[in-house]
This record gives sequence, C-alpha cells and structure tokens, in this order.
Amino acid sequence: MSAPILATDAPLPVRHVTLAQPWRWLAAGWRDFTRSPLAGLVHGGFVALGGWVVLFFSLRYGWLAPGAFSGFVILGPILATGLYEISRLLNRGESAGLRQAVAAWRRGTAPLVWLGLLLAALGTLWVLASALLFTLFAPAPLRGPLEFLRYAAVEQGELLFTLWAILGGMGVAVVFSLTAVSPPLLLGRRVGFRQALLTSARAVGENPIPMLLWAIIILVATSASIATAMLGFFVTVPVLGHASWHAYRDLVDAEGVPLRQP
Amino acid sequence: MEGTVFGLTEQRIAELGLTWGVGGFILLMLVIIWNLARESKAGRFGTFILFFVLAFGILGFVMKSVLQWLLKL
Repeated sequence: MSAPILATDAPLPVRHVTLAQPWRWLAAGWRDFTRSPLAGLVHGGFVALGGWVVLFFSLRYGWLAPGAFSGFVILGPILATGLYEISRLLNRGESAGLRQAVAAWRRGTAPLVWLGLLLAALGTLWVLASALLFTLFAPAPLRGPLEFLRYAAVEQGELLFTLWAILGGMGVAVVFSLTAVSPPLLLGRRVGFRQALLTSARAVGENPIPMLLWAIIILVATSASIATAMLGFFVTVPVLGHASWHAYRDLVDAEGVPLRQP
Repeated sequence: MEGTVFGLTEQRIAELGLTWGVGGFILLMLVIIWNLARESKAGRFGTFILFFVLAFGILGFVMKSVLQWLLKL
C-alpha cells in the first residue's frame, strides 16, 4: 500500500503557517523541556562539551578546527534524535525521559547518519572556503584565532565582508532549508533521504517569512549560547530541539506515509 | 621571478580569486538554489533565500560592530 509513496522522491504536502507560529514552537519547546528537564540538560551538555572541544582545538591547533567542527556537526542531528523522541511521546500523552532518548539514539536510523555526514561535508567546505577567502585577502599571515577575529572584525574591507555575507548567507540558507524539518521526518516516518530534504525545502519555500523568523531565532540563540562560553547551550539546545519537532508537526502533512516504528 | 606561483604574483592570484573564484562559487550556489526550488515545488523558495541573505548580512554587520567594540576595549 505504501509502495507508491516509498518509490517516489516527490516532496510531501506541507502546510502554511503564520508569523505567530515560531513563537508557539518555542513555547511548546520550553514546555517539553520543563516536563523532561534532565534529558534536556544532558543533550545541552553534550553540545556545550562539543563546543568546548571545537574551541580548544581551534585555539591550540588551528588546522584541526575544521575536523573538530565536522565531527561536532555529524553528531548534531543524531543527538537531537533523543529530543524529538521525547516530544513525540509527550505529545501522545506518555511520559518520557532520558531512557527513551537513549533508546532512540540506539535505534540510530541510518538516514540520520547520512544527514550528519552531509552536514559535516558542507560544514567542512564552509570552513575551508572561509579560510581560503580570508587567507587570500589578508595582508599578512594570520597567526591564531584572535588575530583572525581582529582582522575579520576590524581591518577587512567592506567588499570582502559583503562577499562573505552573500556566500555564507546563501550557504546557510540552503543548509537551513534542507534541515529545518527533515530530521524529525526521517526519524518518524518511512521516507527516503532525498524526499525528506525536498519536503523540508518545500516547507521553507511555502512559508518564507515565518521560516525566516524561525531561522533568525535559531541564529540568535546559537550566537548567544557561544557568547556565554557555551553555557547557553544547556537551555537553547533542548528548547530548540523540542521546538523543531513541533515545527515539523505544524509544517509537514505526513499522514499518508507509514510510521517508521509504530 | 621571486615571490611568484606559476608565474603569477600574489596580488594577481588574489585578484583572480576574487573575480573568478568567488564569482564562480556564487554562481554555483545560485544553480543549486534554483534546482532546489524547482525540485521541491516550493513556490517562494527564492524569496526565502533573498531575505535570508539580507538578514544574515545585517546580523553579520551587527556582530562585526560588537566585535570591534569588544576588541578595542
């Protein structure tokens, strides 16, 4: 019965949402976090730890930073799996905690690993492209991240900054649109990898302004988390993770696709 | 000549990189975006990308100003 759906790459139907919706996702994410705080803090802790590792490698050995960053990005969608599972169970009126999150990690669906690998490849490309851009145009070799930061913020020309913003903006926009709702969709339903990515792009493309607001919320929350020496991740990761699941539920009409596990 | 790679000076490499390298990269991104918009059947995908790049630039500009302020302390 489900064969025709499985055989196609066509994106699933999506729904239209209003500008108020992203704030509701945040509220729902916060509610799920307070109902299962320990699991949320553990997830946030993993990401904070990852952030510290990346920071350590970038400060200590600049050339290892892309690798550390990639490893971190690979784990992202897999880690968030636990949060989606908790939201899914809470939404069904069941209780959920760390045990269910760990069970979801262990089931570790193959498509999510693929998604992680894709993100890591894109992330590495992005780091390399940025490094190349700055190395090409920096007047003197930049030694260490602080010198890099000083150059990037203070001395670089407006043209370089504009190019970096256009290139980076397009890259991040594409990655965001591909991954906005695909991880919970891949986890919950029997969809193909390509189909999940296209569905995500469709959901974003049908709701450009609300999804822009959602992207800005995520960007600001992530920047603030990094600015607080990664401590903010303890709260932002669980809230945004749970909220992403609610975003997926609002945006994608997956009723016609069989569940991955009943 | 001293200080050249494949007969090109450093300045010339930077020039070529800026015009052709970055230009080609931006073009490639545009092709990817166009293809994605077509395949995902999303009506206003381009609108999203356009506004996102604008927002990203503004956010970057704000961050740049904050960094300038911090580093000059």
